[in-house]
This record gives sequence, C-alpha cells and structure tokens, in this order.
Amino acid sequence: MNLTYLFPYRIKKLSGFIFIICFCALLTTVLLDWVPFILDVPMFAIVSSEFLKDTTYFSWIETNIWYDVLTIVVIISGILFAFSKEKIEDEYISNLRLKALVKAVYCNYAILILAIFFIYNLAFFNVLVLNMLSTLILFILFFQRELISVK
Amino acid sequence: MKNAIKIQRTIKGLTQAALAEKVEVTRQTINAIELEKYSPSAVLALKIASVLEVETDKLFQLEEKDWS
Repeated sequence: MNLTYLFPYRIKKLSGFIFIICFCALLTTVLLDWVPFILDVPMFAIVSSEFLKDTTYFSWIETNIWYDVLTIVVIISGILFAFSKEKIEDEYISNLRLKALVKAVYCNYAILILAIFFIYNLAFFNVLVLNMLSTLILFILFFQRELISVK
Repeated sequence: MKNAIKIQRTIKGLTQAALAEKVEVTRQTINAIELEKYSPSAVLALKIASVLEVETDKLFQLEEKDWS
C-alpha cells in the first residue's frame, strides 16, 4: 500500500492528544448524559426526526451541538492521527498499516454482527453510534500494536 | 522466500541499522526480512543486493510455498 496522501508526521502528536481528550469527553457525555446548555443553538437540518414528532425537511431546529462538535473533532483528529506518516516511512510500515486496516474492518463487522444478534431496541442505537468510530479506533489500536511489536 | 541477508551482511561487517540506512528503510524492516516475516519489493531487494555486492538470486531463493 504505497499511499502518497498520508498526513505529515509533525501533526501526529497533536492530533493524537486531541483525539484522546475529545474521545474521553465524548464517553463522559454519553455516560453521564450531560451537555452544556450554552450550546443550545438553532441549526439547519436537511432531515430532522424528533421523538413523537413529525419528520421535518430543510428546516431550522433548536438543538444542542456539544455532542455533534465532539464527534466531528474525534473523527477528524482520529483520521489525522491514524493516517499520518510515521517518523520513518518505508514499505514495511505501509504493509503493517494495510494489515491493521484489514483486521480493523473484519473485527468491526464481526462485533456488529454479534450486536445484531444479541442487542435490541434502543440499546442497538448506542451500538450504531459507537460503530461510527469503532473501525477507526480498532485500526489505531491494531496499528500501534504492530509498531510496538516490531520495535 | 529464503534469504541470505544476515550472512552476507555479516561478511560485509554491517549491522542491521547500517544496512537499513544504506537502503533507506528502518532497521525493523531489515530485521523482518531476515526473519522471513516480510518479503521486500523488487526495488528494495535490488537495493539490498547492490549494497551487499551480491547477485539478487544468490541473496533470495524462492521456496515451494511461494508458488501457491
């Protein structure tokens, strides 16, 4: 896998730091069900479907964007960290990166299939939410483990 | 694929790190190749052979399992 569009090495540490901090904040938000009220703002929604209300299209809605902002920051920082170059990039590192990516995809869908069989109703919604990030997180974990094992 | 990199490297008096620097890869890559955990690309194989001043087919040998 000889990709030429990996991000530069110099952003690795900063993106990793932001990723960890924001991921912890996201987990805290989900577990404690807490959002800062200052972020209740009107947002333009292409589709909005609130509980026990009609679905609306292309409308302004009042919503708290804390969760949305955190999720976007986690995704962007995760991608920057995961797909930035190592200090020394060579073909073996590229090979390890590809192996980790394939493993992460397989693992992610294996977990999802298990969840489909054993988790239902509103609890499954949480599974889908976690599934937004699980491939990325698994890839980061597998790749870092490969790098540590060859040092 | 079998290789004789370690033997040839030792004959030349090169460490893994020194060979890695000459062929512009990491020491871990040379180690993985020597342990037959990773097969190098054609370019890298030719570079290693060039640095060790050995023919490529004397440095790398195909095995039965490489044909499957």
